[in-house]
Amino acid sequence: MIDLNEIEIGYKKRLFSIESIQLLKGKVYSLIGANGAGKTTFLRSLQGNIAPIKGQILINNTEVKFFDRVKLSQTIAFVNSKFDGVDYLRVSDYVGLGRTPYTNALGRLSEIDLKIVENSLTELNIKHLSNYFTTKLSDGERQLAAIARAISQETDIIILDEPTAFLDYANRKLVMKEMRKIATDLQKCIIISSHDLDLCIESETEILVINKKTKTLDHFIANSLSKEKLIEIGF
Amino acid sequence: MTVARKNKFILLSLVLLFPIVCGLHLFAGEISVSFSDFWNSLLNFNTDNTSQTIIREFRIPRLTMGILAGGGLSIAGLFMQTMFNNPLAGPYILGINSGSSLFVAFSVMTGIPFLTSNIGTISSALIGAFIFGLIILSFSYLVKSHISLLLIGIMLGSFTSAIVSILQTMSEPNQLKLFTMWTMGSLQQVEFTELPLIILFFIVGISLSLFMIKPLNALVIGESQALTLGIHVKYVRLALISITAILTGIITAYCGPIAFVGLAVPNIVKMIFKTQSHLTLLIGCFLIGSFFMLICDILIQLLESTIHIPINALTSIIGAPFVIIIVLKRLA
Amino acid sequence: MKTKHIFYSIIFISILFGCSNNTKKKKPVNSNSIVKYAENFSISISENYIDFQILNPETNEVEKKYALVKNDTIKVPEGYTPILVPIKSVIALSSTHIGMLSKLDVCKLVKGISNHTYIHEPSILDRYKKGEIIEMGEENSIPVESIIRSKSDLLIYSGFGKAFPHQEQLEKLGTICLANYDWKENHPLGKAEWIKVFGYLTGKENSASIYFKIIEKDYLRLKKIASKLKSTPNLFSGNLVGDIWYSPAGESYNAILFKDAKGDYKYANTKGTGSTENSFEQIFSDNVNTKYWFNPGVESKKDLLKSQPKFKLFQAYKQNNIFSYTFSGNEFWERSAIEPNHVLSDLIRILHPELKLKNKLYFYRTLSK
Repeated sequence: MIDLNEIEIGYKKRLFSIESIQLLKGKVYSLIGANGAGKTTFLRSLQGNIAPIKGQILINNTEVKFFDRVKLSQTIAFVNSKFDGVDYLRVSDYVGLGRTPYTNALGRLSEIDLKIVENSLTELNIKHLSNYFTTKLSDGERQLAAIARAISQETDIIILDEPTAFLDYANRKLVMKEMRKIATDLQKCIIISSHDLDLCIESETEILVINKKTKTLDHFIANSLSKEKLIEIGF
Repeated sequence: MTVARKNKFILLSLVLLFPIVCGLHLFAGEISVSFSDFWNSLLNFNTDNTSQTIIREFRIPRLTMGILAGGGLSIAGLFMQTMFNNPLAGPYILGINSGSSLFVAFSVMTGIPFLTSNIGTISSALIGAFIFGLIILSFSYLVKSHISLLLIGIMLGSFTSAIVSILQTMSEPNQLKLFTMWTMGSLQQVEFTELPLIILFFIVGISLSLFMIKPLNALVIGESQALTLGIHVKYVRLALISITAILTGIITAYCGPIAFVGLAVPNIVKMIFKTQSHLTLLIGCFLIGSFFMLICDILIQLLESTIHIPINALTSIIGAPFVIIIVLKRLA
Repeated sequence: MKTKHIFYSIIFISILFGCSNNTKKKKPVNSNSIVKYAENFSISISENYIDFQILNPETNEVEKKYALVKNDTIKVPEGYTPILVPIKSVIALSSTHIGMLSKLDVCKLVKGISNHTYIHEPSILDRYKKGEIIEMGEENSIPVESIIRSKSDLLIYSGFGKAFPHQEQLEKLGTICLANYDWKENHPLGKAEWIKVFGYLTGKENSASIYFKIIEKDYLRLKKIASKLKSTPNLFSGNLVGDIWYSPAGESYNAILFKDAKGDYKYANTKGTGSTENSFEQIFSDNVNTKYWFNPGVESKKDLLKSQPKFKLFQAYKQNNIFSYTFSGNEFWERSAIEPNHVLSDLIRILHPELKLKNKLYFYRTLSK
């Protein structure tokens, strides 16, 4: 899915390098690293917003910098750490925005689009909320809606930037569980940046950690790493 | 009834109401005219017939300008509000009108014949609106707070009015008089024969607006999110500023600065339709904006025998308290 | 400064129209023979002083009493402000004051003016350039120091029912302030009669009286000629300000002139001495076929159309029958108040070409292209 070979990540100055990592469909990757280690820069590089200092980021064997904006939006969906909701914006309309890369110039949703929106809502068990205003949801519900929007975007890759940072414990667990489920059910490659080491280990995700000593991005498969070891490498 | 169906029903009712409000406006004036005068003035115009002349040269242009000014400014206000993610934004408060004023002042007061001609005034107003739109756009990258951007808009307004008053001291009394008249605002400056050109400008502006619906819908959740949805935010912003400049500029050129319509109406429309679907909001803004303007103007005409209220004053009297209500509602 | 021009034009327009819609009939307080037409001042001769009173145009009550005395040993009654006449120096803030001083040939007394750009009188302009006259600025923002510096005996300002700023201190320092209400006089001869005030103040009361008699006679002669005419061509007056058209009300200065010139003024029957307001549509439907249009406030048809393109629908526009005095604005403001006979003559000449009057137009011109 995503091929990272001999790459140096950074913006103006080099932050870390990647020897050879392949990110695959059907898996959830937790991206872990100290503040300033380069998590955000890495995520932005994956989305083609920042060119790597060295090497090429390949998505489905094409270099990401050759993607145009629409193609990119059909390949990668992005979820912010927080969505505050918008006045008068209903959940169904919000999730419908995920169809933007596919609609015509006037942005009209087809029957198929509406069906996809409905499925996304069903996938996350929030169909009952579809007529709610996004401002009226709880933080957890709003984050689920944001994920539903990303799903309706029908991309192979979903990137989430600290999606659990503002949630309580139950909701964090729920979000991670949903992400696992989506990755398997819908065969997506999901990358989540996080500070929450316990949650990442508990949720049995793959781990990508920015090694503090070697300045490299290290890949560990699920359940292969203890929290202590992780702290030692990353912080 | 689902939301979409309910909104369709409201829109349909407004569309049906439209000819009624127009009719009321056409026949609201002190001078009574008949319905047959109306048809004759269009189909069988007799220049010697005073009633027909009043309909054709006074009422129809006034009605048209009311519709276009109300609808156009409201759409421009909607654009600004979504683009800057700020319910208090509008072409007037952000100083886009001031841009037109400044450039019109320049063009009128240079005394250069081309610039003081109609086309000169319109182009000046358009360019001024566009440049000030760009200025406010670049400031929007620098300041994050909603209120700061509005303050900058208000400062732009003060700044230009200062420059305009300096220009006034340097200009000839005749030019000054023309400019002073222009700043008073009026729906009555337009001639029947000018209407096709103005309507054409509007059709262009509104047709372009239709292509903004999709990006606007996405911009609702913020610029960075819109980017990840494949929207070319940079171009979209330029396009929005251009359309706003067309709509605001041409209205300002002919009617003078009209305050608060662009700010108040989109908020009213959102309250009524409770949606962020910009197709609904766009049509809603056009219809309710026109209604707002026409009803203001009908009021003015009905009150004519007792008190003469300038259109600017009436829209401000209604619009300014509305801003306070929105601010209070936000704080609550 | 040009803003001020507009400001003054507005003031002057209100001078012409009068500011109030005051409809009550005024009668001079004392029926002495010195004042015949003017309603806002009275002059009577007392034993050793001249009793000169300013009457407030709104209330018609005495606003201030002056005693004009020939030497300062004369005791004046309680409540009177003494003015030693003839005055040696004066600050004259309005064009009409300059016009009247000029007629009495006492412009040399002027020590201060409001703004030289509104002055027509060559001798004043000349002395302003030589630095002998101080420019004071707008009436409501005149620095007290300039007034004191001018060491003038008298300051004449256009009255607004209020004392002049710092009036008390100024009078203690020797500059008496005098409110002039000529601009509130409705009768053209009443406006002109204020020359008598200037006459008594400058010791030229006899010249003033003779001059007034001449113009009065001429005015009445012209009025009589006009009254015998058969035709009464219709006319309207004014222009749009915003969407509102201000026309002189039926009892105002302009309306009286129109009537005396035997014109059929559309709003001659409206009440009041100020102005009457109409919507543009109303004006259009009333006057689309009216023959003459006076005082549009612009000099050319081009400017007229620029301010409102629909003006071309008026018959008066189509037939080139729009007349304006603004071609020599300053001159008009200085002279028209004191030469009402010439204003009337202009109107009669314009309205009644059948008379084939020989004299030229004094102030009015038809609009240029």
